[in-house]
Amino acid sequence: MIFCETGGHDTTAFDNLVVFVSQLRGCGIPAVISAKSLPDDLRPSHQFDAAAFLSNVAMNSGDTLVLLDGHKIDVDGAAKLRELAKGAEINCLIYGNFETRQSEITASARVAYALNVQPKVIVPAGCDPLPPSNIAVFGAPLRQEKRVKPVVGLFAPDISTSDARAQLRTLAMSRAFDVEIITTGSAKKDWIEAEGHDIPAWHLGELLPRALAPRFDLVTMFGPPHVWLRTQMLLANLSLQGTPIIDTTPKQCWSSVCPDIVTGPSRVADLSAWLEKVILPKLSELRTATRESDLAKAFAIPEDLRELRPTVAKARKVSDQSSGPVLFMPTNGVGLGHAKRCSLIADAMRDQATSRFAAFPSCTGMLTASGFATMPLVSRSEHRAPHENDLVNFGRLSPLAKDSSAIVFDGGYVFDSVMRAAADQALPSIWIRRGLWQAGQNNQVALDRQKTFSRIVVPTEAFDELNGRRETAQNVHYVGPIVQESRQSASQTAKLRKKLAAKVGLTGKKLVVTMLGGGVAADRRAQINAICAHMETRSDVAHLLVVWPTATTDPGWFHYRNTRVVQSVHASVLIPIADLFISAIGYNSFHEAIYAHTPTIFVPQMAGFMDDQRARGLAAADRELALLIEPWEMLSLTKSIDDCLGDRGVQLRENLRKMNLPETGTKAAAGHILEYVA
Amino acid sequence: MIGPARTDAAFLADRQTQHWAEIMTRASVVAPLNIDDLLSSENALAQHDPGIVIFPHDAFYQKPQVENALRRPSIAVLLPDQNERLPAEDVQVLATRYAALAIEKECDIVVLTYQHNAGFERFGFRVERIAGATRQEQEHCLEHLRAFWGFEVVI
Repeated sequence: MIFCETGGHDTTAFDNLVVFVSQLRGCGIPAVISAKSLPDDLRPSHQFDAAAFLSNVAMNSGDTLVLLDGHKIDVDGAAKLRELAKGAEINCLIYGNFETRQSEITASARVAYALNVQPKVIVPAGCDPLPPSNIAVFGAPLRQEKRVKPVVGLFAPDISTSDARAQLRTLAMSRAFDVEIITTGSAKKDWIEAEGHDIPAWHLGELLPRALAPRFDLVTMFGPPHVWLRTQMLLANLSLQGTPIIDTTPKQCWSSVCPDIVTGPSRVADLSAWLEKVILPKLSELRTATRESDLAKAFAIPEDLRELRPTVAKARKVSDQSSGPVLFMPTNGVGLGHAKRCSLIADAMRDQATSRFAAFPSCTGMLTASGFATMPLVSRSEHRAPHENDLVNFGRLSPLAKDSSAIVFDGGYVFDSVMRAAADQALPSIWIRRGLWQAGQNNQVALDRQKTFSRIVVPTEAFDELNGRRETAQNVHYVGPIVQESRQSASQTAKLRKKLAAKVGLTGKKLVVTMLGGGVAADRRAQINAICAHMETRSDVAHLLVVWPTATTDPGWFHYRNTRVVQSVHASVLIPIADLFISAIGYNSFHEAIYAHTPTIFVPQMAGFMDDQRARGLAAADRELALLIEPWEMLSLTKSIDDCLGDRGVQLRENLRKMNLPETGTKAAAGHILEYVA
Repeated sequence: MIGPARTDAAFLADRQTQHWAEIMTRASVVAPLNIDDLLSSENALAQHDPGIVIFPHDAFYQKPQVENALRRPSIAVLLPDQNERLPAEDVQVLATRYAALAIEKECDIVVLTYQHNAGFERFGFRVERIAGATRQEQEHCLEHLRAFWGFEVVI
């Protein structure tokens, strides 16, 4: 095995180690970092960076250790290496910046003591225009996605004044290219505070350089060359993937020392026209020239490291990634709406693509019942730090993404695991982004991370006022409501109701179905008890209280004479056959009720992290298509039940039948995904 | 956490303990009636051959998380339900015992299952799914859960 360690002790040393190992992996070298070397106080972003490379396998004789920052190895560091090697003879390469011959000898001796083998010390060759690094800088590019318009990465532009920012905004108005900013963490924060999310901004710690590079078809350098390894590796990846690098610094501090870097205008105001007239027409030639340039050659992996490639090449499957299955990841949110929506889309793709899922345990039963292979994820726990479960999920999702053709995410909060799983594999990513956020809801993370997706598909709501302002971005596509429509005839319905009555042992002629949600956002036990108690006064009713198979239940619910507590992963089937449906107002149940023309009493579930259920209910109530009852209106609730089981229900059904509803969007959503599948 | 000197007031004020007390109050010998067999034939999405539960053979190694202030001691209950779910009556008895254990010993209980619905969910237990086509993959999946939860004991 090939182990990598660092002689440094600070965060930068560990960051350099992770970046270096990710580049080695990209070159086909199966390097790992011993889990024992992982500092306990790492920030979450560094934990995600390192996750793919950690190993608990012990060192064995014949293994190789690549030690970075060898000049920093001290007695404690050598003892740590000795503990890892446990007496085995480990070949070792040391990278370092040894100011004197004596310091080199000291470091070598310490490492030799630890590993029982004399190490080989390497001082990396420099590469103009980059400042000297004590770690080898080399490229390991990923494939680049084909884009309609090239993306120009603006590296460290001045954003300190409103004038400077205005010029960048003007640059971003070009119809010939898109722009994204690459900068530091604090500058990114400043940019978003001043300018919002219209122009995407990245900070260099957001993704590993290997995952960040493929996003850019051109890069303009506004600042001088930087010593930080992330910057240097990013430049190496850009060069090897053929992304032309343009020097827009006033002093031409890149192009003056490296002829392969193109000199561009130093004024941002001149950049747009220059790119459109001079660069874009010959972008293809420039890409080839960049790939074949001396700069790119200088970023080839050094011989000492290249030799670490396995001699007996593992039969690495060279498959066309675009022919792999589509990987769906729905979040569980409050209910199961995300998973249900994804399963409908995947079902619409069934003839043309295989789909598989990564989903939370509450959804796995439904998804496997729909025929989809499903990998369970781990939910958050209030007893663990917020990122810890996502780190576990990343460790499952990323390997699954590796041979997938695309990743489809459905949820409100874009997890690190999803963003990184797609980016690390340069995988096309699609976000099924349901709208109807609550006014004032904090959706900063969602707005920021939409930049990571190749395409955003927005399932619209049935009623216009619920759909926000349409975005004009080319990668945002709107489709009709994604909803499962009933295909049952009247006779099928009658037959099913008969079987159902026999199964649950209820004789009431009027079927009432209650689904008030999973109880995550709000406790609905009081409302449910109010409904069940009221049903006891109605001998003509058969009341099904439907709970999700993994939902909590209250023992009191089981003692009502004409209520039966039932569970099923196919619960949607009950909506079209009901005389009255009493429901929360999630996207799926709302549209299923409306499209099935089922008289419904909607009771909203509202929480700060949810969509605006009340607005949905109001839209239906205002049109006389359903009733909206607030959770505290329990007297009104029981009265409304009686109304709806009489003439009001007949009227609601009639109104629903007359309603001209938009065409459903399931097939269109599937089509948007299938464009990425071979 | 209540701490070593338990009192009535501390017991009633401790949110975690009351969470487990709430679980205890949900204990019941009756469970929802599963009507999947009745509805599946009417659901256009349902497939005759169910999908499998998968776990990637090359899932990343998970380093056990370090202790922090959020953590409480946790005990895993590994259910022997590879082939079929435990009967509802058994689940009800076990659920009350594990909730009692959590209350008395001030720990959390996490149920590990091979089934989609182990039966403990309706009481409010945290249930984790064990996945994988092979014994090795299932063991790897369990390692992930051990690293995340840091179980003190596995029953």
